[in-house]
Amino acid sequence: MKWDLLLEWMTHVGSGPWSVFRDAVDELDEGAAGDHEHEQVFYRNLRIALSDLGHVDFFVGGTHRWQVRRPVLLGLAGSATEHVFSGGRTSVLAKCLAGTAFDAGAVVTIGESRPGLSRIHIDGDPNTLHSAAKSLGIQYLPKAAARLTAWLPMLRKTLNSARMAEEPINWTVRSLSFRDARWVPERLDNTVREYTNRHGVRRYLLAIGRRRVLHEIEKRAAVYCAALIRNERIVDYSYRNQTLRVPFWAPLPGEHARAASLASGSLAEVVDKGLVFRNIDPPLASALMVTLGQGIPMPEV
Amino acid sequence: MPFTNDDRYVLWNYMLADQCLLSNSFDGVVQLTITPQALSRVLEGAGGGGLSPDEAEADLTAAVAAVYTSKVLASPRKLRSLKSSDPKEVPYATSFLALSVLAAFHMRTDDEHSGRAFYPRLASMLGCELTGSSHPVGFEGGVFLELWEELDLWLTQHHGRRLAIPDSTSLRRYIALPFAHVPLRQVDLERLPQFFETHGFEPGERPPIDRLAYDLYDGSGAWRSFTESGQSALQDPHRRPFVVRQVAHELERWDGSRTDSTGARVASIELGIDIRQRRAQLHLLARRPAGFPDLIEDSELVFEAGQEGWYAPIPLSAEDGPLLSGLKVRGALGNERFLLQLRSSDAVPLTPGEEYTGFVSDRVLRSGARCAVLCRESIVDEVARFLEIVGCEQVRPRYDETIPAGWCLFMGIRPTNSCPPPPGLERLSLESSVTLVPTGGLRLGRRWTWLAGALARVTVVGSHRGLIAKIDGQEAELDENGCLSVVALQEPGQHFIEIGNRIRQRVIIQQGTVHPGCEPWPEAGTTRIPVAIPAGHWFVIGASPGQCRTLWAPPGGALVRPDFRTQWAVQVGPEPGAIALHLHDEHDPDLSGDPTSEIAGLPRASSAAEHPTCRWEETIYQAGIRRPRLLCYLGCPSAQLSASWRHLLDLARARKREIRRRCG
Repeated sequence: MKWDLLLEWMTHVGSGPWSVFRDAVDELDEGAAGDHEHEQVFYRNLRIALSDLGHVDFFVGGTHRWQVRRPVLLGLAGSATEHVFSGGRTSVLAKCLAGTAFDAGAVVTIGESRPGLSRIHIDGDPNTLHSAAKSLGIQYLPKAAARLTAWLPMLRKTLNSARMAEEPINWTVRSLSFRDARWVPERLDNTVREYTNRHGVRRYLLAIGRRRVLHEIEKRAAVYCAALIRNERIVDYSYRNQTLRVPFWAPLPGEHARAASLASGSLAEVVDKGLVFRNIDPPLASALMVTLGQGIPMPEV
Repeated sequence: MPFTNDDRYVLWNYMLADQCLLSNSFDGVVQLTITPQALSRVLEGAGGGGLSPDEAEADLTAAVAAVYTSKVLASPRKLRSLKSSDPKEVPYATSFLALSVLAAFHMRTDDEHSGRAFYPRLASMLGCELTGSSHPVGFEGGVFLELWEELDLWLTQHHGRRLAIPDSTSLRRYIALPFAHVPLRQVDLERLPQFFETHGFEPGERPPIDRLAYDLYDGSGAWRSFTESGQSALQDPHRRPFVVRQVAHELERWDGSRTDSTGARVASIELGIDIRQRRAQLHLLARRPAGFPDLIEDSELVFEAGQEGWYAPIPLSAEDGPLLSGLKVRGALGNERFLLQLRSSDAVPLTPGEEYTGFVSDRVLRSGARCAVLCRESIVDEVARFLEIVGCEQVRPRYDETIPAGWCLFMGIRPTNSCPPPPGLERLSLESSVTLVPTGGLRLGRRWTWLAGALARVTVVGSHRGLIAKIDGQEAELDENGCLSVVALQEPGQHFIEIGNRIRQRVIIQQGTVHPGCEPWPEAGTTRIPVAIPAGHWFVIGASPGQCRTLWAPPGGALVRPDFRTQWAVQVGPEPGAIALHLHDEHDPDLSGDPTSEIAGLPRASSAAEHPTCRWEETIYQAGIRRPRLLCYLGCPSAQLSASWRHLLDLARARKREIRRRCG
């Protein structure tokens, strides 16, 4: 599958700049090269899939570089026996892991996370799988989503430590309107603004208060910081379905999206203008929402 | 079995033959150009990289010195013992001859030797004494000559190539042999970037030998910035061809870095074109030689490190016409200054790039290759006329919206008809040397290595008519566009593409492996799962006395990770009523976690009470007498919650009574 090949190449190379990733995508799928808008959406969707599923970190340290994660067998939420193979991956390594797990009595299911990218799901005894992974040099991380929450940045801290910025001159601006639930070509206060120059470079500045102090924050985090200062609740949690839903215009910041996706080992689904993460138990939902500054979904009495 | 010096020596023989003698040639003539940098590249190319130039030199020297001692000095045949027994094998003396070239390369005046002292340096590298005739012990000039001839014969008979051998009328007959391969020494090589820059050569290019010869000597005498030794090598008609070939060799390996008169390191900005949806997208492609910073920016342009040796491309739009009239972007790293420079030109040839998919600006048009030309609108008619002559077909300029205003683009030019360009369009002259251009595929590093399953397409450009293309010794098909059928390259492993006796390119097809620099995940043994607490003042309580922490969670809530397994979070105040939140903590108290992560995200946190033992039972007791609302995230049944809370409350009461009794 072509995106498996892309992941294999990225795993071998280890890290690189965004432009090289984009060229590699074009190389494997000429259909990706369409009109500019279509291309950008295509790259973005693939990037999000690789990031949320724990294969690759993008925009490492605020740069335009990506870095592959070490191969890892991740335990899913809600079941001690269910795992997915994540991180960097090569065809040889995947074959070895599947073979070893199968020999150890595990059930190996190979599906697709998205078209062209395999999802290797392994259901088996955790201790046996831990040993099998170790023997192949693969890390083992049980209850991965819950553990990853310990490393999530608190957006309140992100906001407090954000760099103050001057408003760029001669850049086009649009703002996120919480009322309209979309980006509007206006210069609104108490929300996040997107500034774009003619070379397509974008900056996201959070305009706070009447004094219009500007803080520069990464796009997705900036949206949640804006929600925090406006005291807007934009994340919904369903106890009954164990799903976390965010609006389509406010996707979770990268690390949060990864923790949420790795609860089920699958990408968020698009449902009714929202992104829905499944298999999220209440403690995980609470931890995610706390780090996002969205409070805790208090249970019904 | 241990790896002996003799094994290492033989391995060097094969590596030098493969990487130096059987790689690309100039019209079938090859040089054994050995410098410390070249040795490092040889090792890297043979898959044994990781050694610095100095280490690679030391490795070769040690291997040759050991063999010289054990084979030459210990044998009555002396230097003859380095002659090959099997004429088909790589000549046994190859590494020894390479070391002699290295000795010539290092010749300079120092405390011990004059700049002309070759034999003392060779003796020192071989680890032996000089004889009365000032030759290394065991060395015989006549045999030395025979060893070079043996190497030449092997190349001719088995690979259709000739070794660069100086004219026998040369005065210093034996020394001339190694000198033929490095007529310029280190000090002159360091000045070459200045020569390349002033004469408009581009990094990595393979220029026609006659043009280099003209610029180095024929035009206006020996290039004056060379040392006296370098200039005299150029003036010597016997050594001049070798100087020119060595310069060509260096140019092929030049990464574009040079130093300007102010001391700033300068690298070129190229232009690149991608064709997408039939529209041409133009980019600025800046070279990034070793040592250049990760980021160079001015008020508008930001050059960020891209793939190895380059900055990431910056797309140009219709408004960027003025940038093409010349651009300089300055940067600094510590005390060092850097400059990225795009030279102004009215017409820019773009040819298939070896390192980038699409077209990259070049110094000339390449014969037989599909090229593009970007030119100012003001000269479009003149350029079109010339391109029609060299391409033998009608051309039309393009004015896509993506092309900077004031400029236009000619695409799909396949120049075949060599004719001199009109004045002012010298950059559009035709270059006919044969080159292999790989396009696409998933490349592993800068060398000719690709991932299995994602091969490049390989095109032969330049005048290759009459030359046979082979892959792994088997004739390979070339289509009318010069595209090589690469079916034979599918299998992982090492392959060789040969184009007559001009080019022998090693290609490696490799399965992916895991890069050692992949970012590790947190270890399960040290990552403790936190617990979320709602906004407000809470006591977090475990099952045993002493397991109690108090905290103020901000409006969005907080994550806590006490060093015990939490069971309840309790909120009590001076007012009536309380809340007891049942927690499902997955904490393993045996884990040795990072203590700094004990309580996260709390601007006003106090992690422990002054008397935690008292606080535990007191907190539970105070909550208990207020009849708290019992809540649970996971929806535990209320009967279960009540029982659990009652149990804790009983424990706390018992503990409270015990303390009171103890205190008397």
